[in-house]
Amino acid sequence: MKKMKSALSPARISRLFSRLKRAASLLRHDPIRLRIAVLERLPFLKRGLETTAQRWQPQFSNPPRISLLDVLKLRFLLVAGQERTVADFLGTVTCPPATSRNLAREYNAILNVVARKNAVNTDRMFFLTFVCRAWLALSKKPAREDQILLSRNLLSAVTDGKTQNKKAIVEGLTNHLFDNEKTPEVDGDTRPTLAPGTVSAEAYENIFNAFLYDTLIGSETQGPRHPLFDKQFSIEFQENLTQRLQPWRQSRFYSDFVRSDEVRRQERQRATVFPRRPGPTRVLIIAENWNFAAPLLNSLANAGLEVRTFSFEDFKAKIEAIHGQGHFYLPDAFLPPKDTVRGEIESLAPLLDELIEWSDVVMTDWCKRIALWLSRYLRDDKKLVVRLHSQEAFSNWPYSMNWGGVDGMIYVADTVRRFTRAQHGERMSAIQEITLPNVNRCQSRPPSLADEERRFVIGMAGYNTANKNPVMALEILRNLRRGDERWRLRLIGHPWQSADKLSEAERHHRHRFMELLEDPLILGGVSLEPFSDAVEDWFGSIGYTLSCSEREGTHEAAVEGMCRGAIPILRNWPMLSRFGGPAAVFSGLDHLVFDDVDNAAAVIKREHQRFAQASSRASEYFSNNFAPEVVAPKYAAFLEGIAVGQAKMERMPLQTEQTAGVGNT
Amino acid sequence: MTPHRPRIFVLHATLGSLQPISGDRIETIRFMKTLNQFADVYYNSMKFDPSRDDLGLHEREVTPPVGDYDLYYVRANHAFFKQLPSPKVTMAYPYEPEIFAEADAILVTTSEWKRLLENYNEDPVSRTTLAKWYPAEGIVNPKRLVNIRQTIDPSVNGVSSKKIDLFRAQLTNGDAIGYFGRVTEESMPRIFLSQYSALRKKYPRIVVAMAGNIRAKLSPDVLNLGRIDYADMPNLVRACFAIISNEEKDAEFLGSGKVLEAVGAAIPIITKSNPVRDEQLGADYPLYYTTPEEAFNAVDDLLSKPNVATEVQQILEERRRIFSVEAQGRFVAEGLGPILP
Repeated sequence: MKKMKSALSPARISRLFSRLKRAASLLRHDPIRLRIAVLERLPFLKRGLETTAQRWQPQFSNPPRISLLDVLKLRFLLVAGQERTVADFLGTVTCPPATSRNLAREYNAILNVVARKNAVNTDRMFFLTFVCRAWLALSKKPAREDQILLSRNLLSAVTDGKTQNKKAIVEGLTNHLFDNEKTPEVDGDTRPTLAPGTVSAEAYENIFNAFLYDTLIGSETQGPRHPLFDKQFSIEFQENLTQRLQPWRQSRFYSDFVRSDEVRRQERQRATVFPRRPGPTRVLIIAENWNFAAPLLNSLANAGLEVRTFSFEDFKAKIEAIHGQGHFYLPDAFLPPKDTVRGEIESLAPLLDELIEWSDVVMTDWCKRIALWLSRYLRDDKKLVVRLHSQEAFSNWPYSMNWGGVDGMIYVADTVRRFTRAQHGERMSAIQEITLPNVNRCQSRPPSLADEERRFVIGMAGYNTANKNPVMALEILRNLRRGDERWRLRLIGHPWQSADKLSEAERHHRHRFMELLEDPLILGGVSLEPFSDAVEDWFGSIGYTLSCSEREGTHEAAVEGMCRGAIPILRNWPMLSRFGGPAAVFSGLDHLVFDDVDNAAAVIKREHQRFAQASSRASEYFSNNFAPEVVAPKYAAFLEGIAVGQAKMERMPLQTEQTAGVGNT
Repeated sequence: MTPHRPRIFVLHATLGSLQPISGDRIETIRFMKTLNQFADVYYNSMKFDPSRDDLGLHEREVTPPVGDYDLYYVRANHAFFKQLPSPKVTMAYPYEPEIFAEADAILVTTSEWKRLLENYNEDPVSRTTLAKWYPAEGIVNPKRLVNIRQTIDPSVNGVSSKKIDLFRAQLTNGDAIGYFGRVTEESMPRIFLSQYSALRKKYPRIVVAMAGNIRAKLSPDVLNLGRIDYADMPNLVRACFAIISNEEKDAEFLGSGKVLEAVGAAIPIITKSNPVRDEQLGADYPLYYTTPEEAFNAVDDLLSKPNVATEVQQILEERRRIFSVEAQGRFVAEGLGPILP
């Protein structure tokens, strides 16, 4: 009995959690939930924890950083019902746990647990931590009592959902931040600038994040993802874009970034540009993942360019070693001198340094971390081109870009270009731009099955997210099968994750999907096929590629389908419909775009009547607009133009006389 | 009449099932694929099926063999081995006197290993070479030593051009020289790496990349790809311009799966010369080195002399046939013939 009442030592706690983690792994159970569940159900453990919690006095170091032991303690405190103490602790963490991904995951799990227990969404919890960290980083010598009091107030503000309080807190923090500025004169420019000596990078970063999440983007959305990925919020944001963007454009953060853009632009204009050596243009591609960039390598080489690559994965840890996590995407005033950073890169990443030296143009795939870093630190005499996909248009990465460091933009779709420009266009006016689809690997080939075997078969590649909207696909099938039971829907891709791993919105969609599968009219008309890397033949065996998505950049499946004669049936993607929707991506194919289930069924039935003609026109459309030999030379011309400073701004010239009217007759 | 196919029971250590997640396990799987050429193979009493992704195996507790078998092969589980009836065979490592005495045959993967064991008790040089692995006072002479060699995994042929492109992108789209497997201070190919800067000076497209269980600090100009799935190795190997192999002492008698993988993919191997490489690649293979200068010259020749590249390709093609699963099946069947019914 005596033992049960005693506090648990950290070592014992650690051993216990290790065992539970192993058990979770064996049982394929979420490890955090299992541990919490077990602890909650064992009274003696809970008593031990309570004792521990009462005895535990958080030991603050300087600067406070979260450790594995802290994470363990936090878990216990949560189980012991000491949420206030947890909130206080979170308020002392000035840095997110950067030392290990696992630790970061555990830390985020704690936030999730706090959020669940307080019945608030995780987004608010992230907001809370931004704010808490910001406040702490801002205060040079914080008074402990004040700190804890503020943390409590913040937790109340967030958990009670008092948005006004929250806004007031952000405003207060922002004012506090900028009260610390001084006004030095730089090259005769008397505009206020930030003084790194009085405001720390951490304070700025965290208040900026809180500002973006709350003042600009709002934090009333579900889930930990970026709020703009939420359909309702995103549509509302787009409908009120000017109003939504006003706080950002009027903010001091914005003027800091604009000023940094201008300083960078001038630096690069002053740089000595050496005459280009003769020979093919040398392009260095740097990507965060290579799914869309890898097919470019051979295509650009075939188009006459020399191409080398560098993987951001190999470089990430090195950037973090130089800057600390995340701090490289702040305005200039907070960044270490460029010469210092470039010197460190030379020794830490000599391959990258040599490849940059070798190149005429550096192109990054994805407008994310590496693009942000290069926009600030790429050598002044080198050109930078950024390829931006739909994901980044919906994220806050572009807000933190230094657009003065960018020479060219490649947008993968015109919708993406329009949405990005609507948010950031005024900072991008000096940048050359072009819209070009991804270079794909497809080689035009006839369908693998005869028309008769395909004309009742609809296919959908990728169906395990609410964004893909497989529920709508099933509803379209049901509509079609009401008239003719020969209609079939083939879904290929990874299956849904188990419900406990999904967000509420995803879980709801999955549940509805599973329910619909049992519908007698649908049952027997659907096949779920496993993910495959080699889907060319699969596309050749379907008649139509269905795109029901809420948001797509290019929808590669529709393109790959056309390559093998499958007719694309395209929903007017709601999250991009204000910016042109699929009609802006697949110019001339407006007649294949639908708004709802009935409309989709009508489009399919119409194409079914002229299937052979529509299928061959789809193949032709691919050959004219998306075939690698058509697209790659356009990439090459743009990159060569950037290299010599003569790139032409243009959109992708989709459609031809012949294809513009596909099936309209 | 269908010829009799022996039934062979296999067990690797205490593993109820087997997945290709380490060198030893991969080696056992390849051996089972070889045995499967002439026998019905059962792993932990489950029918081995190389055509399936899971090899026909599922997680199951290790149990004594169910049914009768014509041969038992158990690796690194002495207690289990002792309970089995004859005929039974095991690998020559780890050494255990009782096991060496009891086994109907002891298996090795190279001729050199076999030679060193045959001479171990009489030859001090053999004892020195194998000092880390066998007792200084001598070993029990086995009833029979059989060299089973190593086999090119037939799945090496299952490649994806998409994945090769992805790896090329990770390898700077240059002339990548790969070094794969467990990378420690001891196994670092220092002779070759001493020439890396000089080679890059002459051929700027060259880049050395390492992948696998990396336990050593790599030079900043070496790419670290981390762990790669076994199923992706054929693609990674094909994304390389050449591979290098181990230089340490043990490599002079142990087999090397990575060399055979490269042979299967027709990717040149630049390797320190030793008897094992002679057995795998032939004595006339042109890309051997012993000194740093020879390592430099091997790469230089491969890049600058088309006839060397052609010769290498011819040799690799010939060696691919020798170590194919079909040829290996015949070779192993012959080696085990005297103890099989």
